[in-house]
Amino acid sequence: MKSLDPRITRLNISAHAGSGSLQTSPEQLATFEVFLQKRDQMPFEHVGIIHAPDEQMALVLAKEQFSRRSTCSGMMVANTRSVVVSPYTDMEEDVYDHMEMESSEVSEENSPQEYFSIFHLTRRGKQHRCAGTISAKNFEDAFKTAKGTLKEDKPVLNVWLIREKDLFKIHQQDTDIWNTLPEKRHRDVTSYRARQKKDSIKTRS
Amino acid sequence: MYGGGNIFDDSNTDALETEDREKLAAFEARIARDEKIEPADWMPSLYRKQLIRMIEQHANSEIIGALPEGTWITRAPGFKRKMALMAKVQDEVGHAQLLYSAAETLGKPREEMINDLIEGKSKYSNIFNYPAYTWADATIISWLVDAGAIVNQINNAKGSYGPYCRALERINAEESFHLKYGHHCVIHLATGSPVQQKMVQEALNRWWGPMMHFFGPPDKISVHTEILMKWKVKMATNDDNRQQFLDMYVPKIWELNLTIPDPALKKNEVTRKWEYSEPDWEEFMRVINGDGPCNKERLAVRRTAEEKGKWVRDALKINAQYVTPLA
Repeated sequence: MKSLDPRITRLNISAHAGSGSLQTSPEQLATFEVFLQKRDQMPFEHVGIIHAPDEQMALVLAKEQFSRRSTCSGMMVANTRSVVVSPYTDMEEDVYDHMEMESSEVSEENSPQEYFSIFHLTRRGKQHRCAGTISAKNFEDAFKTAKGTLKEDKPVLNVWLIREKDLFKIHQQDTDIWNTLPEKRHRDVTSYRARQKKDSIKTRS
Repeated sequence: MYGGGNIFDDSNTDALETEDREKLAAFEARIARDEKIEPADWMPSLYRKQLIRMIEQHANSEIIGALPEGTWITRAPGFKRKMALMAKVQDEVGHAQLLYSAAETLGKPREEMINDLIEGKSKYSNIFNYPAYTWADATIISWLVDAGAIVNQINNAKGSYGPYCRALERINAEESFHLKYGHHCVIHLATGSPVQQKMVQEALNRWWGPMMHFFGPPDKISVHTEILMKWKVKMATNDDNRQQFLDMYVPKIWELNLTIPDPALKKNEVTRKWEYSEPDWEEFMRVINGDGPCNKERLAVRRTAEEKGKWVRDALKINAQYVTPLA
């Protein structure tokens, strides 16, 4: 197939109009929820997902997707399957007031405490924000404890709970890419001022 | 808009009759009070289907749109232009990923969407079925096509589906650089040598027709706009978007001493609406259904990329279990 682009012509591929079966099988990569910290000391916020085979790749790809253009101070990922989601409330009701968490987990009396990160959604259309870390036996326990200690002034519409050990944070040594990001001027709107050139047209004619 | 305006099968409207009345009323009330719908909410299957189709086609357009622009990276004039175009194309692919992720929350896996694109089962913005003959074509695309996309994106960012709105907010933040860069390139050519001026004028002549098709068929032949607007899936009609684009960009084109190849194009001072020669909608339907200059090439390149990348996916030894993303 001949193309205007010589690289495509060199590929020697046949023109394809669709409706032929692809050789590749559509294996799904797992998805990881990505949380970003805009500036030091600020809470982590959910920003979206990344498809990746494991946590390490997820962090690499998350950096590319969510800090390609704007810098930040921290990033972490968790496999979507490790996020436990509370029911959604309606009409500004607080999920802590109205719902019981159902968890398929059953812990024994002597099971050790572990840490859970709790994320709150306070407004539909916005994203979940980290409200704090709770030490608890299991998810249900964590939700009950969060009810007591993490209530906010505004109603919480939805809660995500993630075990600390399921959250993979970026290492300090991998964060220096964010220091050099502002130097990439060619991605800045301010590099493309053309007022003088435009005005030269008026003076010409 | 991204699939050519007609994103409905007529059979779908019947499904609405079978939906739970109470749930439907609550759903519509939520939209009416400007509250976002999130993935866990109940939604009529028509809403879900149309949203998936619309977001998927938007994502497809970003991926395919990277092709006529990407082809000029190695031949862009000068190092700075190469860097800038490379950054722009990176952004476009990133946008596609954000959009596929938003569509996934509605239940369609990403790989299925990518396969449907390559198989020719799903559509993308028709404008990318045209070839970028010269560098000037690449600049016109970067400026005007992005401008058109931004008009649509800014309107849709106020829509009802949470994940799509959030994706659009991220995208709009990055688009400002694209628009400025595109405009900068066109100004450079329009204020350059006679050869440069001729090149950019001829590119504009080639792309004006497709640009007038960009927002989809006129409202009077577009079906089902009403329910899509009631559900805030569509935030402005095709003609509204087109008028907004003309309002914003025709003056900017004229101030560069470029002529637009439509002698009938003028703003009616009484109605405050732009008048123009009716675009050739037969050509539009022909091209979007496969008979354009670049349709086969676009899909062939995407398919090749997918096939050639298979060994990487195999090497990653994917053993993961996929679930629908949350938000």
